[in-house]
Amino acid sequence: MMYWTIKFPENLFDLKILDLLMNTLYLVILSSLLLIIFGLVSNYGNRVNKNKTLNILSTLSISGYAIPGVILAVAFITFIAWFDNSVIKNLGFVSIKKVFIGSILGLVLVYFIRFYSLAYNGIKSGYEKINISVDESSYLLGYSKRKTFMNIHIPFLRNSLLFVGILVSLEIIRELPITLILRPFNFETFATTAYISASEDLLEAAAVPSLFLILIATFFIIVTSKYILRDNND
Amino acid sequence: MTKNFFEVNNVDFNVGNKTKVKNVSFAIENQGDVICLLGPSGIGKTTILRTIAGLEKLKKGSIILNGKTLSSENINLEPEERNVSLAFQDNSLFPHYTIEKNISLGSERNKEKKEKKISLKEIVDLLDIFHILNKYPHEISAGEAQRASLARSLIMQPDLLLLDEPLSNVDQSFKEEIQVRLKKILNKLKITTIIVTHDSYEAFYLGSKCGIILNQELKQFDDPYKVYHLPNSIEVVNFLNRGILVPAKVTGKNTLENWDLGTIEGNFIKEYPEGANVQLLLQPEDLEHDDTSNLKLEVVDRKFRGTNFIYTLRAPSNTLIPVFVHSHHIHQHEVDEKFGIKRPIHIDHIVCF
Repeated sequence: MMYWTIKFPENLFDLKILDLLMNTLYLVILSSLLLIIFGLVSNYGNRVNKNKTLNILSTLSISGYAIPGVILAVAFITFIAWFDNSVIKNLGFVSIKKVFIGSILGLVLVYFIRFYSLAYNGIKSGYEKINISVDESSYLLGYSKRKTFMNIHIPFLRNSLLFVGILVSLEIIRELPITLILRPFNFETFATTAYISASEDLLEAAAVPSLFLILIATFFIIVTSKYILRDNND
Repeated sequence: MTKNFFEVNNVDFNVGNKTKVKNVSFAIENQGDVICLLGPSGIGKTTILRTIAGLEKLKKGSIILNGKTLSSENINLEPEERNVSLAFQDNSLFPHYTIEKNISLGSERNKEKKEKKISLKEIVDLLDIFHILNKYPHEISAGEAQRASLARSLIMQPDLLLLDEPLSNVDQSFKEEIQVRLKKILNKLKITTIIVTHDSYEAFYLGSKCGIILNQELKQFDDPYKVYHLPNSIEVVNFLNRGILVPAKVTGKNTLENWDLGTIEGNFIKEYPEGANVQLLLQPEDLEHDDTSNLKLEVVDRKFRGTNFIYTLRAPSNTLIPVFVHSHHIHQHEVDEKFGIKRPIHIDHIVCF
């Protein structure tokens, strides 16, 4: 890839690298934040409220990772179309198809369904390292549940959250079928550009976005490992 | 009617739907008193502390601290609203904070409300944890973590302090010293304390009153002397394991007769009719060694316990009787030798069942 990039430097300038970078990061940051926030809140909910229904819902919600991206994207479109036709239109509301299909919102939602398992389980393994008596001690020191969450859980889970963030970011950066099917018109990421070029046998053109994908991923991994190592040494 | 500082009234202590200890009532009369709850492992002692701290819900009875109801069928104050501190048996220090930060979090509570009776330095010196202040919980031993946790609870100066086996992980060599320091500090701070332990010596030393929990019930709640010398049930005798029960017949107002030991004199705790067959509690200190006595029993075992030897003697009826002899006593006996018991046998308080 480096060879092709150096040999055909015009590809580097033909592509709107900044646009691709912004689009990719936009999706990654939005989706990762959503996944981490929901993963954290549902894990916290399960911890403080041992409710069977909540547990079943959590288990069901993590099954998205088992479904291939293409099927998930098609199922999402089918569901939205059915819901729009059978419920929304009958109620006399404006169609919601445009809001969810071919939009960033729809894309982020399907990413959420697909990668929630990674976020949930990553945060759960972090939570499992905090003995429940730590929470109880915190209450007895006068901390409310919210303060315990903010002052005890979040600082302790910092590394787990960072790790989960990187893991889902890496998945989203290289995610292809969902992005291809659900992305808005003219909205390209490094992954979709690389795929389109490669599918047209323009391998030298696919090299540049692929190289950027690898660079971004490497950057994430280096930053995380440095951060986690520094924290462990402290 | 005297108003108690702390009261537990007819409480069933539960974990989920399972009742661990039933219908418990006891009171701590004065602020600053220390009481101990004793019982075998798994009996529900920790559940009692957790319920008082508000970590378990209460379904029956009431818990009142300084005139304020903490828990009842209708009221359940959240743990953070109680100003009750619980030092857990296991390490419950915040893993991402140093020991110093962990302890100082305790002092942040009530800092506006209370006059500072003790400083961080004082408490650290008392519990000998200066060397671990800059370490994290995963870098210290279980005993050190327990002392750090204790320091955090003490510096909080709560209205009620609950200690769950506070010294169970502390080295035996250091335990007694820490017990002395703990007693001193509790006295100084006047913190009302409930200590749960299975070490009866610890309970007798630290508590002005002791509760014995057995078979889902609080069997006895009394001062340590009475719990030891005047146990109110056979279960308490068996739990404390500080004596045996031998069959005897009441022969008079102050006497009874045992087939192996002959006549025993003393003061009955309860009245029994003459001729009644009873089980007499015989504790190791009740019998005295006397080589010149004609009552001689066979030595089957001899245990060295520092200040004392405990001799186990076999009586003609095959009953095994324990007897204390000071370890500096000039004439010691080996196993299988004969051991003389001073007659007449006199027991200050005769406890029978």
